[in-house]
Amino acid sequence: MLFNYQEFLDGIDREAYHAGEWQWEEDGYTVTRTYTYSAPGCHTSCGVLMYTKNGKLEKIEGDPLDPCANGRLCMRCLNLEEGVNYADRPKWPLKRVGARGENKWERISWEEALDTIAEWIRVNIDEAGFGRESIFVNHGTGRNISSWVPFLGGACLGTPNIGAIGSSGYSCYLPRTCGTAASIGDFPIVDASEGHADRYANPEWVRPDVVVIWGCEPLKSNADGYLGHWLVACMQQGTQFISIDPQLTWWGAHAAYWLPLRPATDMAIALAWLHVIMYEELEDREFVDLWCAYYDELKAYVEPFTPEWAGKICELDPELIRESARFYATAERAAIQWGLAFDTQNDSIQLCQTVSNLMSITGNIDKPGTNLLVRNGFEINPGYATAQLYCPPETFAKKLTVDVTHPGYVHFIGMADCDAVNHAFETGEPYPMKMFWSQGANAITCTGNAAPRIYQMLENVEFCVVADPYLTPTAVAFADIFLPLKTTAERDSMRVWWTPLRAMKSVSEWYEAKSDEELIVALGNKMNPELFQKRWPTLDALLQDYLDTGFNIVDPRRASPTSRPAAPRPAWWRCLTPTPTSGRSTTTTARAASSRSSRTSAATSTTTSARPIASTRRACCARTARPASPRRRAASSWCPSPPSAPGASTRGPSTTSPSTP
Amino acid sequence: MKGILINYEFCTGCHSCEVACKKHLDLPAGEFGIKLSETGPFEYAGKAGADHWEWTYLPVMTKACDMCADRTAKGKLPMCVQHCQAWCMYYGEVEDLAKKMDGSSRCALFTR
Repeated sequence: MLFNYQEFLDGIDREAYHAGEWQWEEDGYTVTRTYTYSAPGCHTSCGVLMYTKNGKLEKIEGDPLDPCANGRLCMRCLNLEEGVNYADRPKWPLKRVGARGENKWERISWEEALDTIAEWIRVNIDEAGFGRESIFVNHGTGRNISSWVPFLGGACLGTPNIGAIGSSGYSCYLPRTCGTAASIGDFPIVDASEGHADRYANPEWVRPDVVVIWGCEPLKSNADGYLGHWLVACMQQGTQFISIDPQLTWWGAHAAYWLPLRPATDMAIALAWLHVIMYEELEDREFVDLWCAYYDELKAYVEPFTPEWAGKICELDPELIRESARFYATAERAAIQWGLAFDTQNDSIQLCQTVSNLMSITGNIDKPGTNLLVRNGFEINPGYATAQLYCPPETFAKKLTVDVTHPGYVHFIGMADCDAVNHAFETGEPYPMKMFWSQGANAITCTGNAAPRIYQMLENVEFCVVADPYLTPTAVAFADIFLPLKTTAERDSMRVWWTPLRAMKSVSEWYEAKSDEELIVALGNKMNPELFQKRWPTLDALLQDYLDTGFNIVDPRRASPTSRPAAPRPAWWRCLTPTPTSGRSTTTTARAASSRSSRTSAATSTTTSARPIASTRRACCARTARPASPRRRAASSWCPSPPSAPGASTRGPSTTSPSTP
Repeated sequence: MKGILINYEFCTGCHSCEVACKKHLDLPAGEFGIKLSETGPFEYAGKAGADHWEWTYLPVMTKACDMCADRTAKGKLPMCVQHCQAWCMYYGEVEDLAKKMDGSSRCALFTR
C-alpha cells in the first residue's frame, strides 16, 4: 500500500501553505483560505485557496491543510474563475422590456426592483383578496441554499408554498431520509473517517472491510455521502467493494462482486440479501438482541424471497446474489453507499427501509468503518422547513399538501407537495397561483423531463421573479424582474451539511449582485420590517442567528430556542422536519423522539403497492433508549480552524445564548 | 532527480490533474501538460471478481510539463499531485519514489 495519510501530514510544507493564516499576500495576489459552495448542485464544500487581485478572482487551488478534501479538488472549482468572471453574467437587477422569452431587459436599481415586487404583491395579492399562499417559491437542489431560500419564502414573502415544480412525488433524497428516519432514526453515510479532524490517521478509525456501492456513482456525484473519492482512499487501504448497478462503473470493474441487475429491481436483491443473511444466520446476533425490534417478524416475512426468486426478477444468477450477501454480512465492518437510484423507484421508501434493515441486522451502524448516522456540525439544523416557522400560521394552514391530489394521505415534510403544486398551477385549485419566485433553480431545464409541462404552467403566471447568478432559460422565458445573485467567491456564508462547520469568506465583488443572504435581509426589511428590524436588520445579524439558533423561534424570556404555539401538529411531525423544540438539545432526545414516532408514521405515510416486492411490512427499528456512543460524539463535535471570517465566524458549540430578538 | 509517481491502479479518470495543470500553465484549448489515457473496459475470459475487468486510466505527462518548478521551489506540490482526487500521485526524489513502489499495485514513475 502506497497510501499513507500520516506521511502526507508529516510531509506537507505547512509554511509554504501558510498554516494558521486565513489571508495573506503572495506574488501580487491576496490569498484567502476559505470554503466553497459552487452552485449549481454542489453538495460538498471543499477547502480552497482563492487568489484575488484588485477584488477579482484570478485563480483558485485546493487547500492541502483542509481535512475535508486535503487540497483535492474537482474541475468545477478548479475552473471556478471562469464561471465567476463570465462576461455575460448579469451585473445589476433587470426589468423585462420585451415579451417574455425575447430576452430584452432594462437596468434598474435594487430599490426599484424590490419596490416593484412589494407593490405588485400589495396590489395584486393582498388588496385583490388573495392570500400569500398564491406565491410559489421554487428552489433547486443545493445544500447551501436549502435553508436560505425556504426561509426567504416564509419570512420575507409569507408563503408556505416552497419547493419543486413539475415533479411528481419526491424523487430526490427525501425517500432516503424518510425511509431511514423510520427504520434507523437518522441518515447513514459511509464512515470514511470524515468524523475525525486527523482523518485516516485517527487511531479510532478503522477502514471498512466491504463497501457496497448501490445505485450510485460516487466518483461522479456523491451528493450527501460527502466526497466519493474518499472511498478510493479506503480501497487503497484494503476495502473491497460490491457494485450493484445495471451499468458497469469504475467500481464494478474494481469490485469483488458486480451485480448488473435489471434496472429498478433493487428491492428484490435487498429482500433476497435479507433472506440469505437471516436464514443462514449471518446476522450480528448481539446487535440484533440489543437494538433491533421485530426481527422475527421480518424473518418470517422474507422467507419466500430466496435468491432464486430474486434472480428471476433481477435477471441475475442466484448464486451471485447469495455469495454477495454473504460477503457483505460476514465482513467485520461493512457499509452501504447508496444513491439517487433509491429515490427514483416506485418502491423507494420500502427499498430504503429494507436496506436500512440490512445495515441493522448486520450491526453495521455507528461502528467505525460502517454506516454512520451523521449529524450536522454543532446541531445547526435549519432545512427546507424553515419556511413554516415564520410564515403566518393561518397562511401556513393553506399549504399545498399531499392530500390535495391524494386524499387520505398525510403530509409530513417541509416542502409543498409536488403534485399539489402542479395541480394548483394547472387548475387554479384549491387557489390560483399568482406569482412565481425562482431562486437557485432553473425549472424548465433542470426538471427537464417535464419541461413542456412546466412551460405551460408558468406561461400564464402573472408575475415572475428570478434570482440567480446567471440569466437562465427560466429567467429569459418568464422573469419580469431578474435579481443578480453572488457566486461562492463573493459570498459571506457557511456550510453546515454534516461536519465540520465550514465558513465561506467573500473575496471578490461582482457589480451589484447580492448574496442569497443579502437578498433575504433586503427583501425581509422591505416586506416584513417588523420582524426583520427586530431580529435580522443586517447581514451579520442574520448569519449570527443562523449559527446561534439555526433560525429557530426564540423566546427572549427563556433565552433558548423554543417552538411557537402554533396550529396543532400530529405527534409524529417532528421526525421529519427540523426540530424547533430540540434546537441544541442532546442528540439522544431528538433521536429517541424520531425513532419512537416513526414507527407509526412509516405505515401511514408511504404509498403502498399491491405487489409483494413493494412492502416489507415492518422495519427493524432501533430501540428508543439509545445511549450516545463515544463514536457519535466524535463524529459530530469536531471543527477544524476555519478562517475567522467577519460575519461568518465559528462559535463554540451550544454554549452561546441565542441572540434575542 | 525529481519525479512523479502515479499509482495508476487507483486512478479514476476524474481529469482533475489535467484541469489543474492547464489552469496553472495557462494552456490554450487542445494543449495539455498532463493528459489522461484510458484502456478498457474489456473482460478477461475465465477471471472473476476484481480481476475480471480491465479499466485503467493513466495520466501521461507531456513536453509542456515542467513539474511545476516554480511551485516546488516554494515548497508546494505540483498542481496535478495536489489536486489528484484519487490520491494516487506522489512527487519527490525518484530514488524515494522507487522505494515507495511495493509491488502491491500498478505504478508508473515519470521524470522529465
